Amino acid sequence: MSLGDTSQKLIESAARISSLPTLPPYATTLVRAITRESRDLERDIQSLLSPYRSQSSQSQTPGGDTQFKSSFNPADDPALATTLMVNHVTLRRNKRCLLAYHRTRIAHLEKSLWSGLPLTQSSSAPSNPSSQESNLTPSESLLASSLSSLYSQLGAQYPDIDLLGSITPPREVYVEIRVLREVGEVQTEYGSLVLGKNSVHFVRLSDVEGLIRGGVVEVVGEGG
Amino acid sequence: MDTDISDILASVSSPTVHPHTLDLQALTRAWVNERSAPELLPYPADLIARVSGRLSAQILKIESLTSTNNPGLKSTLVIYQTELERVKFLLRSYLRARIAKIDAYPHHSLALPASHLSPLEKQYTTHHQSLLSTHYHTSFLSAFPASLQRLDDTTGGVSMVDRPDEDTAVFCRVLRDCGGVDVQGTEGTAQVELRRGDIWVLRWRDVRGRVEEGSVEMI
Repeated sequence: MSLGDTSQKLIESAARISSLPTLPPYATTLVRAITRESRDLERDIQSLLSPYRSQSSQSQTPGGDTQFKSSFNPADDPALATTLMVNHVTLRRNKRCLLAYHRTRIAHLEKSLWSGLPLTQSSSAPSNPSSQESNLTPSESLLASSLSSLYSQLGAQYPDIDLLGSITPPREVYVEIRVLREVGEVQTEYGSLVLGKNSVHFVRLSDVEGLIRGGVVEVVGEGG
Repeated sequence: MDTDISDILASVSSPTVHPHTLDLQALTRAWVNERSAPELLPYPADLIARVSGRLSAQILKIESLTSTNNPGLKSTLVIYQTELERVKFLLRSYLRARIAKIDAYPHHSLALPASHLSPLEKQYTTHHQSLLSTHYHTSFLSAFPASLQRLDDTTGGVSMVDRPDEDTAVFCRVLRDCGGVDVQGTEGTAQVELRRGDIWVLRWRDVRGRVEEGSVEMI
């Protein structure tokens, strides 16, 4: 396989992620292959340059190009210069592709977090813990829980507007809801509400928004 | 000459609007602009502070009216609550639109002038970015050569920093006459004159300044 092919595959699978309803398994094999290829490239670069490395070449620029610090002059050996160039560019491309792949997965995660969907369940089958949880890598699970606490921290800074709430424009203040699963007593701003299974209530939308998103109650009609 | 007279007439006949209504208008405009612009716009700190303050006051007012339990007030209350929900939605959607952009371009957002982000947003971005950076490092970046581990690296021909597309086309309406804008076409440059009431599709780069100064609004 030629250089960069694995990255190409990873990017193709990243492009698929955004159109899928649930996150597919992490491409461990591809990611490993690309990091291995990148390490090999870096080793090649170092060994190709070692004959040219002389006295004061150890200092690195923040950007990281040791190549230009050595005494190697590209004009002396165009073939070597080309190889180095290709290696460097491929290395950067690999990194960019890996970043893009991980970013796409995170974006998928963030979208579910913002819309309030529990990550361990798919929205269609609340009773059956779907495979999504197992499709997260340990690092991603950790990230998901840190992100969700970051979001609630941010939400707590805006107590009046319910920042994490729905971003569909409100039409009515009151709605008629039917309770799908036993909830029990719920505290609202203006008193408490007992939500028994299959009962129908006429309540303030903002009081039950969380329950609607969680699929515990459904809206049967809008008041007015 | 004609335009001078109509300007004078407009300034005389325009009714005085309550500052609260003006703020609501400004918030709605900021919301539409933010949602349509490809890039993060400056944060209107004063406006948001005023609106949030009034929002809390209104919540208190509704609570005290509810506790009086006066049946004659029921329909008034529904109107108050509907208005409250709408303003809450406006503010929520506005802030969420900003966070979505910050999430999409974290490095770019942090590099913006300080007035573009509220202190809370800045704190959020820094925290968010440090979480992501930890994740990248545990996932693959630690296996890379040290010189390539930075996330804000733009050297070597492949930039690692995503930026919003400033050349994307946007729909906008001109609120007051504000001179000409150069438009790049395939056959050279042309100039369009921005007159009050005009609606244009222009490149964001060309109208950004006018949107920020308030002469042009997004639609």
